[in-house]
Amino acid sequence: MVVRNWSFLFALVAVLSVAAFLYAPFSPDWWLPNPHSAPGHSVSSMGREIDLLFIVILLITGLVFIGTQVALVWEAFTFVDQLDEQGKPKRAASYFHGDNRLEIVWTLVPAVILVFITIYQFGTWARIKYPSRNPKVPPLAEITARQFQWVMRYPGPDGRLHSPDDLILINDLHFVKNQPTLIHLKSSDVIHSFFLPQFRLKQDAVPGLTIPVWFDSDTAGSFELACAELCGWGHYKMRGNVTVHETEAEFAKWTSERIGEQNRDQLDLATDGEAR
Amino acid sequence: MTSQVETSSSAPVGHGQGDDHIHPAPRNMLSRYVFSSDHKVIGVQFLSSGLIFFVIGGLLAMALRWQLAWPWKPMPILSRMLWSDPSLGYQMPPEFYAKLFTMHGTIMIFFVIIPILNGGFGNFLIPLMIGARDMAFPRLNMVSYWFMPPAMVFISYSFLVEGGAPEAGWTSYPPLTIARWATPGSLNGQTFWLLAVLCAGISSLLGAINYLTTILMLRAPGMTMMRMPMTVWGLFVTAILQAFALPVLTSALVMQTLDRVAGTNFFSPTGLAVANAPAVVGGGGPILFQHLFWFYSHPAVYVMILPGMGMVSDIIATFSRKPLFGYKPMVYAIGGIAGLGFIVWGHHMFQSGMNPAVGATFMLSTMMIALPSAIKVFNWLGTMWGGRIQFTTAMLNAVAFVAMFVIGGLSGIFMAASPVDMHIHDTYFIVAHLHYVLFGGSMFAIFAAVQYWFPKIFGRMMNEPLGKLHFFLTFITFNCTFYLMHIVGMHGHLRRIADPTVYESLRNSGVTNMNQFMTYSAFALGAAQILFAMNFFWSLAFGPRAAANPWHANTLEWETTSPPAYYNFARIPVVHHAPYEYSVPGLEVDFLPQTKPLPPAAMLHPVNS
Amino acid sequence: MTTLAPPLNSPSRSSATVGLVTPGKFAIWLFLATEVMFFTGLIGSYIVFRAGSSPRAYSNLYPPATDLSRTRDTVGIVIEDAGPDPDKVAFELVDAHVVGGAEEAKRLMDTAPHGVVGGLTNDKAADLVHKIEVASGHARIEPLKTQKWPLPYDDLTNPLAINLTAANTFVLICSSVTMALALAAIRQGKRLKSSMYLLATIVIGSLFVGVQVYEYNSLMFVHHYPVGISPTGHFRPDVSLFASCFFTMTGFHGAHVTAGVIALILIFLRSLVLGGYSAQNHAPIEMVGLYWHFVDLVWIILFTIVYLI
Ligand code: HEA
Ligand code: HEA
Ligand code: CUA
Ligand SMILES: [Cu+2]
Repeated sequence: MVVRNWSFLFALVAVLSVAAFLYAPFSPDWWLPNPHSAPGHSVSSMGREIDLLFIVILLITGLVFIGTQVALVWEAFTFVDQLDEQGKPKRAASYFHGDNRLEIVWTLVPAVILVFITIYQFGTWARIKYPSRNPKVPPLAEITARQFQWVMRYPGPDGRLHSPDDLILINDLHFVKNQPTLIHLKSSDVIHSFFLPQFRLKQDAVPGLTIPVWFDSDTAGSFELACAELCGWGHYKMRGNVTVHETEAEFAKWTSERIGEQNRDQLDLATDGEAR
Repeated sequence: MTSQVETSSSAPVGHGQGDDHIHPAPRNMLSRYVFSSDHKVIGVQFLSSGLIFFVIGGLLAMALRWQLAWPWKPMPILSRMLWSDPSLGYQMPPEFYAKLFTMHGTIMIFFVIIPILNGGFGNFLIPLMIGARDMAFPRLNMVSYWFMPPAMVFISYSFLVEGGAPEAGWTSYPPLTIARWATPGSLNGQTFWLLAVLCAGISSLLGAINYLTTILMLRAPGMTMMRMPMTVWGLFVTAILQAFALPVLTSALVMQTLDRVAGTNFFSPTGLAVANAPAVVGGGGPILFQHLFWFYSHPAVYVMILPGMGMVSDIIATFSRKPLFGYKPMVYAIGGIAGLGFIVWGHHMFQSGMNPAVGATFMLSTMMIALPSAIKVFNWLGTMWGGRIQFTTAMLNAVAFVAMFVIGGLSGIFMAASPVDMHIHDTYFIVAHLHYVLFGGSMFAIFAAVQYWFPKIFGRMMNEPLGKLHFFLTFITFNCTFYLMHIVGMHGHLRRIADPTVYESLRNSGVTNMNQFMTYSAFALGAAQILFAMNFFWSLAFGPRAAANPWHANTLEWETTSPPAYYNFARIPVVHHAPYEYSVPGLEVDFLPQTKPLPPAAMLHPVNS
Repeated sequence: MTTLAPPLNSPSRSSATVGLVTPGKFAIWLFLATEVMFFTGLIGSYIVFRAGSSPRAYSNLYPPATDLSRTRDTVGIVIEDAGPDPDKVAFELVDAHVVGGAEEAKRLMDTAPHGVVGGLTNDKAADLVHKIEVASGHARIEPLKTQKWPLPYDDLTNPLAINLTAANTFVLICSSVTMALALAAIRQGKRLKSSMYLLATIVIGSLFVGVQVYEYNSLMFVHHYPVGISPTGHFRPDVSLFASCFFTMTGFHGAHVTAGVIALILIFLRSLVLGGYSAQNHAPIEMVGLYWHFVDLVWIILFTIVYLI
């Protein structure tokens, strides 16, 4: 076998790697998670920024990857040791120890690129995570993670949390389209993580802390809430439903229905007790 | 550069370790091969126990992959025998999946990669490469190895205790780990995990002290720091990382142990009550553990790559028959990676609830750590440039290291960008990253190193065709197994979940097919390792006898017999020049061992400053 | 690091000794560096915990980490003296339903002069104080005070006997002096003198450990402390974060001192019985000495941050 052929093995892997990422955007199963109605479109404003960043980094790293792999494969092909009929090398290796100018170039160029990436994405990070940049709205709900469910406490008619008319639901997050929405994230046992894949949003829920988290959506529909931090044997099934309502009125209707249900349940409980 | 050293060719005399007293090997078999203080035997002990645990850790991964491809489908034979019973229909219990990846990660990191690279090759190579008779403290070295067996017993025994093996991942975040009723593995298994990792840590710590002293004080005459092979540099800087970062992990593990067994309140928040157990007083902070853990475990990922980088540098230079491109930048890059490695730990905690402004500074430092890595990659490419590349198995694995490390490193850039990390944190994108750097990096470095130094360690050559077949299959199946993890990861496939089909967005044919494809590839990858095992054992018994310097390499270990005598060198060698003088113009042969004075005809280029 | 490397060409370069630094000494310095990092982990955590502690985590009337949001307007009383007939005072407490039962009342009497009963209204507190005076005990009204961390000499939140430990600190510093003297003596070749100083170091070091054991014993088993320190009356690692930190840090330090004493005993025996050291050859004394001074230094830091501030 010709030793040179090894370079094709390295080339093959590199080509397939690039191909996978070229194919990915064309398949909704391969690309970033998005609603079926609009594959290729993250529903939240932060999600769209993050997707853009992802693509920018993908392009930069993709070019670096292609560059290094081309160099590697080319070297493996060109500089492979070949022997003539007498078993002597056809070509001597060149003899040098390096080049300082090159070293400086290939340190500075990546440095510029990396500083660019850092600065470029800094604004997005600050906008999403800095508490001072949170939307100035009353919290939609207080969400408390526990093994293995999400307890959502909505303020109820009086608009205040921790009052007797609070609406408490399990694994059911509802909010309204096109409105910045704030929640208070807590945990009552171990660490969990609040993950909305279609929104590109993730935040750990830490016992002992209350962490404000905000998000929005430009698409009504139903999405998923996942727990992204290992929290015990049932971690894999700690899933919630997310519903984005088209209008404020729809959300209000849903809320009052749920509150009616909750009151009925409580009444049932109370009368049950009496009957016994 | 080179002229100044020629004077020191007379044999050195002196006292202590480096002197010319030759001690005979102990006669007693027990003290010769078991409780040995010979660095070579200890190296082989670390290497062999590491390889055994590689099989265990790999087999755990096979069970992981089965469950991911066909969730809850009983695994033939094994389900019945090992982890399930008829009441579950022989399905894997969900907590067992957590045990699998926890033990897989723990074993691969603390019992395979670190022991093999540092304990195994570190022990074997350091004294040989710097021209010493042994480590500075042979007895301490022995103690360092003998902290491993208890660790191995603890970690294996944890499967058998009530509640079974730990389930909190190799990162062991509290409060999951300190609340005993939070999950079955936290009942008792976690305590054994802590004991095991503490023992393994002490082993590394003692090793690190020994390595640093040895490298700084026992170098042969003429072996300046800037003439050390990159392998020694890698191991040296790794030892610094171990010495300064490991004690912090030790303190964190001690606090976690006390939280579990003595009821202290370090990592439990006020009034923590998990799974209806009575509340504890609390007042401590769960996030602090993450800081302490990553303060060690981020440097630890460089502990797992720097020795590999060093070895790969040596191997690439040897088989390109060319001096290493940019020796000094390479050394500084190792130092830079290590230095920056101490200030980037927060990139594992972007979403942890840590102050986001702090996260922003960690993001910057993390990006910067790609710079020294870039220097390394480009210098390897520069080394191959214009060389006479000989594709031995060792070289193939070393080149694969470069190619795969680039993929693993570049995926690190995505995660270093904290907003992007928000989406991919705790998904398979991370799993892909860590396998590209750990398997694609460290494991390929180990394959390369075994193939390269096997003749020196055991005195026999490994089989080349078999080695190449193993490389070919491993390289292909490795990429098939792990590359698509990037894709499923960015599609939102969480890590550490037993059943992806719980999520609607993961219940589509694309993800399912990819999961099954990865599983088939993983099985093939595992099966390919049988070739490696065969080659290893067959060569051990029947491989052709190795010459002292089969690869025509320059470094000192090749200047003694294969395998080296008990005392390594009949006379302490004297070093005349840098380690990578290959293909020096005007010489008969294309290599110039470090011990060989420069023939008058030849001229060396200065090693670039 | 490169400065440690010997000159390039020196033919006498035996590698093993570079100037005055032997591998052993170098390694002990390295070992101490790892120890520094270990204690940095513990002490750093302590500082983080303390800085991050809630301003209402400790109080004079309730156990540590109690939720104080519903106790805002309450006061407590401190029984300073149970009087000649403690049972009578105890009876008053039980009678007023401020304690769980006779058992608890009796324990409160043991806690005097710091027997704390919390959660009372102003009127009830005044009434109780009066009743206790009548029963010829002595009590005072104590308003609720919250704090971030137990303060030194604050008997209601901090059980540590600072004066005793200050004396003990002095003891440990003395042992450092004798250690230094032992080394100085052997450097001059005075073997017997050196051995005697080693013995003195062993004795003083053991004394330190002894006092610490005594202190642990009284904290954990003997004394009864007011509720502000511990709900059970005993100060044990699980009663508060402060207790956890205290026991872990001083415990690890104590273990280090004990290890040091054992090492000292070994070199003492070797020095005295075997006459093993001389002016030229005394590296073990030097290394154990370094370790001993290090352990001493750690104690001074611990004493300062745990006891004094
Ligand atoms: C050997 C081990 C190893 C190595 C070397 C690395 C190297 C790097 N790692 Fe990785 N990492 C792990 C092992 C390793 N990692 C593990 C095990 C985890 C998971 C832990 C867990 O949670 O279980 C992890 C997780 C992890 C995270 C946390 C992700 C999360 O949980 O959300 C991050 C985030 O920033 C990260 C980043 C990086 C970066 C930036 C590098 C850099 O050092 C990489 C630098 C290299 C390159 C960039 C390639 C070469 C450079 C060029 C070719 C030049 C030009 C490049 C550009 C201009 C872009 N790693
Ligand atoms: C060096 C480190 C290392 C190595 C080499 C590997 C190797 C492998 N890993 Fe590893 N992995 C980790 C380190 C490593 N892993 C870490 C740190 C984690 C994170 C853990 C956590 O979340 O806490 C992880 C997590 C992890 C996951 C994610 C689990 C989850 O989050 O749910 C998966 C899933 O596919 C996986 C798969 C594999 C596979 C298929 C291999 C294969 O490459 C293994 C192949 C090897 C063998 C099979 C052994 C050789 C066998 C023989 C010689 C015998 C013959 C075998 C057969 C016949 C099958 N690993
Ligand atoms: Cu909750 Cu994972
Ligand atoms: Cu890291």
